[in-house]
Amino acid sequence: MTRNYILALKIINVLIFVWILFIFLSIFHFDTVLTTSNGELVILSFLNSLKNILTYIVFIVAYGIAFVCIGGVSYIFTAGGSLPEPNIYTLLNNFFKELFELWFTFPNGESPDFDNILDLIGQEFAVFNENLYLFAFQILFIITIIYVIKAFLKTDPKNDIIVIGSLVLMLVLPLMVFGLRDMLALFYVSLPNLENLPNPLDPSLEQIPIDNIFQFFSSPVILLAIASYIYLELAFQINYTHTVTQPSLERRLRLEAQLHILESESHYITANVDKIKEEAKARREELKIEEKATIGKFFARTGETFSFVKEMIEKRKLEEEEKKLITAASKTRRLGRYINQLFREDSEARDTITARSSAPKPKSLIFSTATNFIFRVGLLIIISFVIIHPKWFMETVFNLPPAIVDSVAMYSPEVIIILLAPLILLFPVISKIISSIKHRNLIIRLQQEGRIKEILASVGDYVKKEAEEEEEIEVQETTTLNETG
Amino acid sequence: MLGGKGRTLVLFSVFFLTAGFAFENYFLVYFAILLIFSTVVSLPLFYYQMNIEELRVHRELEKEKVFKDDFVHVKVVIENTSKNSFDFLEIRDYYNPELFRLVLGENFISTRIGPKKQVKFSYILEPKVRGEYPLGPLSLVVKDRLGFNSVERIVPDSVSDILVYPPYEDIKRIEILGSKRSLSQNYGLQRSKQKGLGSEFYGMRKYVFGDQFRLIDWKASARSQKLIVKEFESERDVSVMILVDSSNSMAGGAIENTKFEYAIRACMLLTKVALSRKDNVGVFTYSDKKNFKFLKPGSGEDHFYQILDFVAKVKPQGKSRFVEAMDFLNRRYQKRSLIFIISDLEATPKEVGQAIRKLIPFNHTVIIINPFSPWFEIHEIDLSSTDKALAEAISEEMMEHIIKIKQEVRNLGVNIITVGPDDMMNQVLGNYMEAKKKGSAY
Repeated sequence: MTRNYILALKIINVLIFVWILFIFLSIFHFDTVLTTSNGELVILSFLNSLKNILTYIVFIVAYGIAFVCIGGVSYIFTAGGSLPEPNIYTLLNNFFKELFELWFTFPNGESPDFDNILDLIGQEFAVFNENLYLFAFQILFIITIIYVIKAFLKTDPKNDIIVIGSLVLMLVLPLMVFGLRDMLALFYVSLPNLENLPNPLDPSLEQIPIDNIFQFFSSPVILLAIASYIYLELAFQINYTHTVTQPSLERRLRLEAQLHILESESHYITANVDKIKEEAKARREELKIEEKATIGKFFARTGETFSFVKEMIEKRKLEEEEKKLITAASKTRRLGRYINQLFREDSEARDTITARSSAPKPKSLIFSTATNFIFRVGLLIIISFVIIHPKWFMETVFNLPPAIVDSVAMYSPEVIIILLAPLILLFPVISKIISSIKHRNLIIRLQQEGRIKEILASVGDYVKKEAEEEEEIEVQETTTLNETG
Repeated sequence: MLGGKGRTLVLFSVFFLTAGFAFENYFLVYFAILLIFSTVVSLPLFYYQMNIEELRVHRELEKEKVFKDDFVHVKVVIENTSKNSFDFLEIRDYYNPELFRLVLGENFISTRIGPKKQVKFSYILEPKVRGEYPLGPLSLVVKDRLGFNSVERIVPDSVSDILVYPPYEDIKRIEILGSKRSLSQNYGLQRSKQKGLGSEFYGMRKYVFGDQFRLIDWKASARSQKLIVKEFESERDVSVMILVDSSNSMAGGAIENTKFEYAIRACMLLTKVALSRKDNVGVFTYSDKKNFKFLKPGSGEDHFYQILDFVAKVKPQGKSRFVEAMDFLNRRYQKRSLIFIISDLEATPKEVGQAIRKLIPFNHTVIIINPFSPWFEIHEIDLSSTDKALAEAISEEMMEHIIKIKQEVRNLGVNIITVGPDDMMNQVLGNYMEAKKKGSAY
């Protein structure tokens, strides 16, 4: 039942993700990041530009090595007198042109002149830069899909945070790039690589309707934020359900299996204990382990060469295997016997060891999850709406003059700080007050009951029981011995 | 207090909020507001509903005294006395893994507990080391269901003491051997009977001239048509004092197999055998002045458990003060006894000699059982050649030391028996039997 419930919640969450995806694609034009400005697929263009850059780099390195070699040779032949002849350069250029055309396919079809190579790399780098920018969105999208699948298969809210984080990053990335461009423009700096990058974001992201509540909640920007939050909230609820139910189930299965193994093993050992002992004895004889310790031999000092430590270590090594076998057999048998006795004497022992009673009932879980989810999401939407619409609050609650309420500043995003900061602080303050009142009441109640230790513990101080009492000489009265003193 | 997930969300939301303001982007601002409030919105409700004092948590121990090779069933009961449920509860019962081994079950649980409901879980521990050790405390963590906020408490008075006796296996082995008639002779579990004027029946025989008339069993005589007299056992018991060196030096080696642990096992075994032979047994553990612990000799099954309680609580500590210990013993106890001293004798020969001399005037029979330190302390199997050479040198030095002590006490008629872990129990029992045979300390 609980497993089905978790599965149902996960399916709902996947559906919410599909909803998120629909909204996301309405404000993020994914087609602009699929192809380059030339209409080529980004992935192909990206790989091509990478290949071109590498080709030029290999070319420049090979050319440089050949140039240094030729320069060095001519320097030696002219006995350090002069630089190489100009026709040597011609030979070098021709050689590289002819030879490299056989090995590489250069972007424009023929091997470039050495003088042009840096410009060509610059051009390729610009293409690469654009491709990298576009390719990043595709990578983020792939990450999102992979982690959605992962979140479905494995209950860990980290996967869901990565899903939403990747989607949000796809929105933040162009904002940051174009933000950087605009910032540089303030300093009259222009980077050509940033100028031609496409912007996949819909202009609606920058503005939201704040005058009408219906328009506000139907805006894809707000819907995306709400859907993303619902997705995360549900992921946390799934994680909670999993945490309180799954360990109990796993624990029960694991312990039932352990008990079963223990039972069969202890039966086997009881039936074969003599055989095990015989085997151990035979092994002892085979390994020639002496029954008696060699301490007497050591003290006797018979004159023969005798290493006490060597003998002892060898003996221990040989004993180790035998001991392990006997100890394991004996412990399993004892534990098996103990468990049987325990289960006979304590009827609820089996249930408590497997923690059967700790698993919460699915019905109460479903009810509590639903109420908690609706309460939290509903309250959050209301609070966020109030915060993002400070105008209504200032008009009706604070009664501020129209000059302030209708000012341009009220339409800037920063104005929400006015309500955001105090409201955020309001919740911890209220909870602190509740906590203090309850704590005070508790202390009064416990004082009346005289439970001082609990008071101390309830404020977080654990009063450790003084286990080490002063050890005094203890003369215990005996019943049979006469006093001799 | 914000939990791990709560902190992560707050960090994310601060980033999104900053980015939202920087880029004038309403999506980021709104999303950040949702995230930041999601961590705090439940906080007042969490504190309002969370009456942690209404959770009653306690531990039920199957037994508080246990033999080292036995098991303990530990049950933890959590009861919610409030009207509200606790959505997310984590309870952990702490134990020291160096002292206990978790054999079955788990010592923690994460669960949800409804109003007026009870949750129980249990686990089985196996004590590793003899002694008196605390179990607990119980820790209680109450979280909100999403793990954003949490409160942790230690349950008051949730530390229980467990007294771990030395392992019972030696005694069990002796009992099994004793139950086999052929072997019982070797281990001497049967009481050596001596005729006399005691109260316990010994046997019957024909009347001979000089027997007291009151000993004639008239019923038996009537049946057999001959005069039959009853014989009774004499009650010539011996007082056995076991002196265990509890100094720090006795604690060397692997924690489960120190000289001290072996000494305690030997003490327990000797006690069991001596008590079964109706002898009186007393124990004195000593190191320095602060650590002299004396239990007067006594007899009977109850006394065995008194001795178990007594030795289970002793910890090896302090420096061995032989002379002061013997002075203390002489002040407490003077009756002629069979005295077993179990010590590694890590003191000067002069000091040992001086201490033994203090026992001589009381006409005790003294047997010193000396666990040979290197034999107990070198517990590693893979020793480097340097370590081996060092161990050889230490063994040689220790041997020289023991020989010197033997020479010192030879004239006092005291025998020192050096033992290893394999033969310690046999030697102790063998020497006890030998002393009984000789009639020492009667």
